[in-house]
Amino acid sequence: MANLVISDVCNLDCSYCFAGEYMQKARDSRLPVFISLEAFEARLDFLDRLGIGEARLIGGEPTLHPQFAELVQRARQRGKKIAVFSHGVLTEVALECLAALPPEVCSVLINMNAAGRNPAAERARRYSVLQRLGSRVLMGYNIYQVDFEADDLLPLILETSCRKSIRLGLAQPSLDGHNDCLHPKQYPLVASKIVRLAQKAHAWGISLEFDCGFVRCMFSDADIEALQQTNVKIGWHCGPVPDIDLSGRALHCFPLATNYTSSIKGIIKLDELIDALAAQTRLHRTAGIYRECSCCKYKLGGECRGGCLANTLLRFRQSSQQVSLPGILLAS
Amino acid sequence: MTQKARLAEGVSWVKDSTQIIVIDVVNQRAYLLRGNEMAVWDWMTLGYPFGKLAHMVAVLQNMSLEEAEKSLAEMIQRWCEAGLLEVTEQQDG
Repeated sequence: MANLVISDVCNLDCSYCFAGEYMQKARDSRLPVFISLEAFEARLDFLDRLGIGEARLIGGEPTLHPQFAELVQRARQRGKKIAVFSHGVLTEVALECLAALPPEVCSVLINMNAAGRNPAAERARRYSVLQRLGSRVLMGYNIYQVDFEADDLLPLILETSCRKSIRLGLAQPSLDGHNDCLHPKQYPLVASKIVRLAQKAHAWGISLEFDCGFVRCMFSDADIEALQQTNVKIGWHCGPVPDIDLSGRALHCFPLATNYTSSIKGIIKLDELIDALAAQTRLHRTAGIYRECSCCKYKLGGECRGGCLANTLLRFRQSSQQVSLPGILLAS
Repeated sequence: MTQKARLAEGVSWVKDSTQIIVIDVVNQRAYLLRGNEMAVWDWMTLGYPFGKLAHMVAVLQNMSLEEAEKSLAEMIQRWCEAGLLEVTEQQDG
């Protein structure tokens, strides 16, 4: 998988957005904020070269691209499936473009707790979008507060015939930003709520799937058993799924975007690109988000990656900044 | 002349429950400090001067102050050779 950034612009303002800092820097650079048709063709060439059959369009908000329909059409002409990561408050043009695609070739991950200045209007518009796109939609929900509430998604999925699944994400810190997110110490506090949501969802015939950054130890063994009984797609992963930005660089991921990038020039296999990005953070992966990670059986055994690397890097940064040097006096 | 140690460029660390992980991104190496080394690194980064560190090492390892100073100097020397610390000399006064 590789994601194509086609827009550095978003018209909502989610407090937990971990791409905000990167997007702001991109906009400040005064370079174009939308991908050109020419550059998009080059990205499609790149996907072809790597044998990737899906164009995963991200932003910012990708549907704000003024030629969004044209981009989708060009990707379809190359036989690509389309995946779009969106806040769901779509323009009519973007909505019709996606609704015209058969559900087998179109997947729209809608972030259901994206929020702007007019939540009521955004909810209303998102509801129309869900109804129109139906089974093309997979709902996503980002947890950034201990007291989160996602139960209302369950009836909404059935009402709008969306996919019977919810992708749960833990909002992660941007290395250079100040976005809202949970502190890792708070993870166990949300675990029991996730289990309850999974159980309730299961009763509605809906399953949960975990996005990156979850850790095994946030759940008790009893929690894990309960999650397995509700068919939750559990995963304790964190690794680069390259995002190719407007300038043609591959980003490790948005939380690490300002620090870890790699060129896509000369890349002919996706694994090469992933390896190049992973190599930059290899040493820091010795640790994890908790003091216990580096000697944890789940991490040492490879079952758990030790949480989001952005949190681990922040641990390194914080401890290294606390030194009361410039120098310790050795001898005189 | 006074010798001072400071972290080398590109070195960062984190304190875990059983070890300190020191990363040297310039030379692409990771070091795991445990036991006495963990304790000394921890104290050193809190800013204790050499004399105080030596005293604490003497207590920790149940040795004389003279032996502790030697042990501490060797430890810091190893870290310097590994590229984790840099020693600079400053004119007194």
